[in-house]
Amino acid sequence: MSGMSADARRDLPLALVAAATTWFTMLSWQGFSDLWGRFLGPLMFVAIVVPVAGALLRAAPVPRRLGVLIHVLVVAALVWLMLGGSPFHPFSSTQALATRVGDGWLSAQTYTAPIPQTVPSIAPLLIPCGALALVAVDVLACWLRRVPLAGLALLAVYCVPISVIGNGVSKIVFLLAAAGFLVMMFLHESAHITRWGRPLGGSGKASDPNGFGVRTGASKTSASTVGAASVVLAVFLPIVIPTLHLDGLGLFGPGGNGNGIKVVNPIVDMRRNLHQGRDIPLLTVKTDDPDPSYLRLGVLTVFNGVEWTSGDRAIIPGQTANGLLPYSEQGLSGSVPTDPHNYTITATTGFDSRWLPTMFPASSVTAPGDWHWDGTTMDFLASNDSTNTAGLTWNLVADKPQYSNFEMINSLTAPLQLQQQYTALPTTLPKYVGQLAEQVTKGSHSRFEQLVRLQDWFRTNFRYSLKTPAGDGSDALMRFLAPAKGGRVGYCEQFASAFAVMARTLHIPARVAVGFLSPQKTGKGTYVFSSHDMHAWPEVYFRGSGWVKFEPTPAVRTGAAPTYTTAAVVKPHNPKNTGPSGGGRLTTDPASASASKVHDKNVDSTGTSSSHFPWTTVVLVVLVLAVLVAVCFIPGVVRRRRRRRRLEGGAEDAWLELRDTAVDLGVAWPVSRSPHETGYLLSAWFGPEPDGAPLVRPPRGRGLDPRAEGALDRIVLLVERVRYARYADDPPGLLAEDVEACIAALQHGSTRSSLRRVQWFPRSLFGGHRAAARAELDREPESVSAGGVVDHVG
Amino acid sequence: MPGPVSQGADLDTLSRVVEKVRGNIKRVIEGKPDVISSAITVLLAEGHLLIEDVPGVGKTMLAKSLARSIDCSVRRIQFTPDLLPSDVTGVSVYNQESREFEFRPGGVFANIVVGDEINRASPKTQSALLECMEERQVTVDNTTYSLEAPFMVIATQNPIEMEGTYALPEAQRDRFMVRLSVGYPVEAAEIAMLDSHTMSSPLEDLEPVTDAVEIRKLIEIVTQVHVSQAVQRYTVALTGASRRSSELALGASPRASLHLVRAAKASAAIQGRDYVLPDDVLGLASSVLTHRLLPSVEAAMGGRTTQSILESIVSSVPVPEGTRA
Repeated sequence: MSGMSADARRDLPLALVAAATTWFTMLSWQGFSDLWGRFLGPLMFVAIVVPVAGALLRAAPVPRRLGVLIHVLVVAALVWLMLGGSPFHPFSSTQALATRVGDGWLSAQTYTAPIPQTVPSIAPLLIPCGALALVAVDVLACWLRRVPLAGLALLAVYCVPISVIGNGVSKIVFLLAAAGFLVMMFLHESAHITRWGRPLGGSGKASDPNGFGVRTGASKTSASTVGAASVVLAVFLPIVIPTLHLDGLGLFGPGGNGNGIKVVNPIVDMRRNLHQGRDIPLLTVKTDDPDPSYLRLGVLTVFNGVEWTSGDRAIIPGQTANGLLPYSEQGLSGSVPTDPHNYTITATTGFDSRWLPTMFPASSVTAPGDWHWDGTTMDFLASNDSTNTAGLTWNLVADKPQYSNFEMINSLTAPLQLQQQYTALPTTLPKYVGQLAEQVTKGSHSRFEQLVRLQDWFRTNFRYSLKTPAGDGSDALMRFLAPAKGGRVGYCEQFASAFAVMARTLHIPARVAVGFLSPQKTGKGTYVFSSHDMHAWPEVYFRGSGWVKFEPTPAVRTGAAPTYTTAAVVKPHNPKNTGPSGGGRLTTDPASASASKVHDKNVDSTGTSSSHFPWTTVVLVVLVLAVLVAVCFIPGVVRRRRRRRRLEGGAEDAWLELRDTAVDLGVAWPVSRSPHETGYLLSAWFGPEPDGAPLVRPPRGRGLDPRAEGALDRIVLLVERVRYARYADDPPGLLAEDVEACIAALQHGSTRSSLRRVQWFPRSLFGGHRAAARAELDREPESVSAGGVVDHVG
Repeated sequence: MPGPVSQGADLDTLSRVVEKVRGNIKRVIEGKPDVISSAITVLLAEGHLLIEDVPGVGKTMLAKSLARSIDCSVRRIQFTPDLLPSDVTGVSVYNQESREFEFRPGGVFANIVVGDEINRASPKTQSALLECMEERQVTVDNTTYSLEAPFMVIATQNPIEMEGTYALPEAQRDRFMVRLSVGYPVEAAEIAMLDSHTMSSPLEDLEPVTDAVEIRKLIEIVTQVHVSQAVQRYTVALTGASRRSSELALGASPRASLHLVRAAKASAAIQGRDYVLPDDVLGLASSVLTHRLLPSVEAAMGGRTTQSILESIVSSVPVPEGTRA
């Protein structure tokens, strides 16, 4: 008994430290996702459950293998509850779990680490992995008592981000993990040493109640040395094995290094940056705009069948970025209301671009250096090689037009020159593209509606993935649009390109803009655009509204589509804008609505991550905990009720209660002892009434509690009389006080851990006394080895 | 079963008499209270006692002192190789005057018969004792003579010096309720013995403290002691386990169960109880059973004694938690 409880007592600190160390080590996984709290938070809860469940199971009288199995199942059930949701609807929760894991898998395959916050979280992948690591460390360190092997498991946890992301983890994480591992080693070694016996020279009372039995400096030093050696090994192993690459599943895209970005050709550079492993901050924006998205680098106007290019740009003197820009050049009529916002943009020194990022349309751009704008595209290009954005700060005023879909539906065709220039397509373009565009937009009443249908078609029927061949030529376009296997998957470049080409086949002027999608908010009015934010989108010309952006790239990357493409058509109250009717109400595709939901879930109006608290999970976890707590309380309640009932019974009930109390406390109760002998031996376990709390090793023996011994004698006598005498009175409840006195004396002679175990896990309820009774049950059938001896007396 | 007697008063009488007998014997046998108690137990249980020990530890002294403490007929038979069965049982002699055969009772016709060194007599003579011991009667020339109660045979034998002796057959050993070993006294007891036995002969000074009539009453009281079915089951479980034990070639006989219960009843009565406890059975199991058990060859070769085998049997048999009998 005492051995078991002592083991359990030693176990819990080690298990807690092991779980804490594993969790600290998993802090190195922060780099996997922008929303690392989504998986580290739940894993913290798992890290609490794993050691507690493990310690309880180890204290319970179950075989080790079964204990490990139950432990793993408990943790698996917890993870399933966290990810799957309601345990009362197993089918739907399994579906939800599969969906979440699938989404996470898709995100992991699609994006490089860190996974942006606007896409489905990879937490459903990382939570099971983390739980597995926690269980593995607990099994190794506590079940198998192989703490050094647990260090290898921790090392694996630590090496994953190093292998996948390609850079180191923070020093604090390393220090926490190393310190935790040292403490684990120390606890293990000290438990190992104290198992040899009690510390010499110390009284029982003075001995360490928590199992930190190592008293000598030498023992501490040896334990610390072993721990330190293991830590050093853990540090140097990844260095001497540089080929250790754990990304066998192809998650998190290709890796990349370097801190600088050079932009010469926007579309090529965007492709490269999106594929680059590291997300490098490039631009810091200070603005009063609550949604500073779609920051444009340049515009691609020409599609030659091989690629989209920016065409020939003539540098016209005077068209420099030194203040106000002509309004008319931007194609925006005065009837479109605007919401101007000031921007101050600062590029990092590593951002070397010959294209100046600006908002479109903008009424003013002031940038130091020789930046020229193009009259048709309103993008800014450095006029000489010495001009670039590295370390540059510039100001602009973005107009942010409030487009009206009513006006776009009713807009007139574009001016002839513009119409010709921006609907030009190479003759080599397969007819299929045009036919597909016609098919998709069939039944539309206006060009705007055609474009909305086209946009919805892209957003609904295509899948976003960076792992597709680069390119936007005719072949790539056909491959992208084909419904065959491998088709209809791509990233923003292909979406924007395909949309613009298909719009042109419908004789709608279109072009491709390249820039940044949405930034990360870092403070009030301060945002940071980074390399992974690079994006391409199509712009379509409507007379009166100018170049209006559409968003065919699916919501998983971009969030909701522009509001004017999804909102109901409302006729403005401006009499000046009356025109031919025929708009009516635009049908909003359910997919757009769901995409909008996805967007809302991930990004609020300010572009920052929302603080949606996982209430459902929390409530479920609380419920599960409540059930677990209730289950934990049940044995104690049943035991107390049984005691109460027996105390009201006769001598046999009193004796049974005494037996169960002894069994609960781990006192031997062999079946071959008579009541008298049992009573005599039981009195040796009696302890004196303590002054304060129960002691770690309370004194016990005969003569410490004469009152209880007298009570025990009375119980034994009555039991003997009831069982073996011819006549005996057995009034119910007669022995209640005596039994209570004996129980109290037994408890006074028991250790704290025994008493705790009795409270939570009374052995007598779980067949603790059956093993002793088995001797009688397993008795062999009647067979006599010698017999038939006849005593013949002469 | 006879109805309950006034148990309290009877048990008090029994305790008083037993205490007097015990005190009397104690004057002769120093420092052996357990042995004295066992001897008295056998007397009250109507059994026979076999005292087996090395020479000079007081076997005969114990037998004699017990016999002298009771005012009853006592005879001592010294068993020798030339002792005849008729010396034990008695013989019919032709009386020329009356022209009839007259029966002259042998040594067994007494309340207490002390058979000294019983293993020195021939098996024929030993067997003559058997009928007397079990059936408490003697049959000579087709005439059966009853032996007066109480009747108790106290036999002694010497486990060494086996030359020229005839070991008691199993059947005869089984007839002894209890086998005792007196053992050497502790140092203080031995010194006290020197003190008392050199000045005078305490055995000669011993006066009877009770008589045969009272002993008969006490035996009647002992028979009234209650044995619950639980204790009966326990006794049978013990003897049954000895028969099933692979370490024993011969287990305890049903007569052993009977003797065990009878001895337990006497033990309970001596302790002032009118019911038998498993503890009574347990306490007597060793002295009642070991001389009846025969270890198997394997166990004997393994150095196991009947005592140790019996201990392991006792520890494996659960004590019944018992229902009211």
